[in-house]
Amino acid sequence: MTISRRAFLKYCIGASTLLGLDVSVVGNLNKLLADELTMPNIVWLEGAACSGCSVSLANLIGDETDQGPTDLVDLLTSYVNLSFAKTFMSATGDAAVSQLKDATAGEFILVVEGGIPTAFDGMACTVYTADGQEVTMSQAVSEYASKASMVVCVGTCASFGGIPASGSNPTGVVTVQTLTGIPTINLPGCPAHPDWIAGTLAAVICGQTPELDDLGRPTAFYGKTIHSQCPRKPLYDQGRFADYLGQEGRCLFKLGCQGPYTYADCPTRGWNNGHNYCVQSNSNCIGCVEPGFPSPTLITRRSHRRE
Amino acid sequence: MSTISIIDPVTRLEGHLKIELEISQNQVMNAKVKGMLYRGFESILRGQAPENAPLITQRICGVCPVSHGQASIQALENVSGWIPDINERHVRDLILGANFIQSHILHFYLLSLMDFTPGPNLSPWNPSWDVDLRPGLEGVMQNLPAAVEARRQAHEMGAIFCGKMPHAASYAAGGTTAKITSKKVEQFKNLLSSIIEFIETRYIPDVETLQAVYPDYYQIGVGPENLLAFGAFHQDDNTLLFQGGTMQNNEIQPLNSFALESISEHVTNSWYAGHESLSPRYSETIPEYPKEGAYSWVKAPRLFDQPFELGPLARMKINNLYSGGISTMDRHMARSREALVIAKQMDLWLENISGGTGHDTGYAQAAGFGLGLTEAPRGALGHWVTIGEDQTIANYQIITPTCWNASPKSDDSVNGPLEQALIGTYIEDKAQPIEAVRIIHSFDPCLACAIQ
Repeated sequence: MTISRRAFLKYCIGASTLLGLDVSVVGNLNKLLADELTMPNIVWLEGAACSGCSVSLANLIGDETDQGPTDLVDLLTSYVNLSFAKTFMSATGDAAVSQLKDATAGEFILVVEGGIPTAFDGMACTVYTADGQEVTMSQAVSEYASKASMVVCVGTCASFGGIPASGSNPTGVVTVQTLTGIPTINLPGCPAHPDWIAGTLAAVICGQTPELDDLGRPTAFYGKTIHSQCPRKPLYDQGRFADYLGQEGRCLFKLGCQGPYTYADCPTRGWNNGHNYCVQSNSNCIGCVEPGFPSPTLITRRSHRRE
Repeated sequence: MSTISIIDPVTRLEGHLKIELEISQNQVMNAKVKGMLYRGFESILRGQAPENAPLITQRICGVCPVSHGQASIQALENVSGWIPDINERHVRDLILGANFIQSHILHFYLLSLMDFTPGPNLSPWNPSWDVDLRPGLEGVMQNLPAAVEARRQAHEMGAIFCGKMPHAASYAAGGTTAKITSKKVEQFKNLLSSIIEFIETRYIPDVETLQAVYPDYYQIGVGPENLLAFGAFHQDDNTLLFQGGTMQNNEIQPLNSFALESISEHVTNSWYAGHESLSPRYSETIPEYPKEGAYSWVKAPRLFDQPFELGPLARMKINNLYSGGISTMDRHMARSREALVIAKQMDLWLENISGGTGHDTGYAQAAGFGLGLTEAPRGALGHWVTIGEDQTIANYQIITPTCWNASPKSDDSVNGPLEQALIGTYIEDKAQPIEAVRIIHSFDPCLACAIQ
């Protein structure tokens, strides 16, 4: 895909703004750019996943500043070269596999959604058939992660294992980093927020590396606890706690809210075009962006019952 | 001499689906539908607090999480003998309806349309197969951006009452956590009215255009002609918008407890231990790979030991809301019309709900067995749960619509519904079996649900 210089710059500035990066760095790129650029391919592999992060990306909506993509169609037609993505691509069967081979022959960014099962020799998850052989997620990630210019893990399953790796971890799910030792940018969330995905991909395409915390998460999105940004924080300070789920105007801490231990910008960013987020709907934060998700008790008292 | 044609991955659907077609003289002689991802949700759920189930099971699928949340709370409430008041049920059904609509729009415009007309001329839509792409659908493809917007708005609508989509926050046994305010109702109504306009002026006319250009698909991809629905969406008079039932030989029967007791899961051809078919109330999910003769991670649920097709077409026909037949094109037609039926009903529920939710309902979780039956966008969904005296989940079994539709052969070697729909199909170009892909997509398969 080729893209005009103007669009690319707009995009980089949008990404930089979103991630709190220095916009002047982008300005310097100006001199280096030809009139048209070939965008790097993005290869999106799905392992032990639910496609919730792909669906979440489809909820992308640009903000009023008009920087960066306005929605999914704009993202796909004007900004990224999504060469292989099972959920959205037209090519199917052998044609899809050819596209994967072509896209990974040159420079590409690997996006991984879902965990990587290792039980049953990886056969709990195969991703395609090539030359008559089923290729497991484990084999595909091993092959492509080392060739990619960057690996971005989208969602908690890819980043930390998530639900498929919880409990007895029935299929031996591991992460890209555990499997290959290759460092990754992690965008956990169940699902990941579309802004987190689009903003990070934008930065990576522009050749910028966002500042990451020690879990590989961009600090621009995962820098503060839910609790510290929560509109109900004053209620916590006043000791006004909810007795049951659904109680309005109370802090949900004593019902098991994970807000104090969970780093994400949900309260300020909002979900689904800013309409809502978990705590605002009187449900506690379940800590879905943290490595410990899901904890054995997602809420200490889910029922509405008073003691 | 026959040849084997493999489609892997089948793209533009949820999850990991592989298809093997045995083709002789351009005709599909045999078909194997193979689900290729197993995660083990049912074993992960064992020993968990019951309150976790609606949140964990939603994560089975990012396209239809709300249906799992709904089935899960209904199963938990069924254990306790609890029926929430109609206000709470309407709020849940508004969230469920919002998700049906986003799923149906997603399915037609982003997952199916590219089988019939080229998408935009760049990745991820190009390159693609170039076979039997007939002119006449260019205007339909022009509606792709509007469809993406309407789908997103449907998710936003649901999030107003459930916190976020996908993976709703507000599902709790006993009621729903969201407080209903007049402002939220107004926001919901505004989004709904623009979505209804989209369905009436674009989605339904666009499917009409599709069937006019591809009328031969009313004869292609028929399947077993057994239809099954569990029913969903609660009305004020305690009936359901879509009643559960079966349809065989054009005869509709209501769903009764005898039928429900007659559901069993066959695993002879699936990568699970055992050969005995059991009711989901008693069955377990123990993976066994490799296993002689097995070819899929999908189990084979059967009713009266027969395969049944589930989905919008089943719901609409069983409720006398769709008069057409059973085929690839009928599935698209019924799905688009169902979106409008649900959307219009949601508008009525919005008139009737009040600020009563979010209150202390007094719900307490009992131990014992419970069944939660509802519908997902792609068909009937059931959760069977047993809660032990220690207040943890002792057993959890889930049968999803795609588990029925994309099932392998049963113990007595009868093909699953999608396999039956594929067998007999004429394939013009063995290297590009587009006819098969169109049939597959018409079922709107969701493999993450089918296997979990």
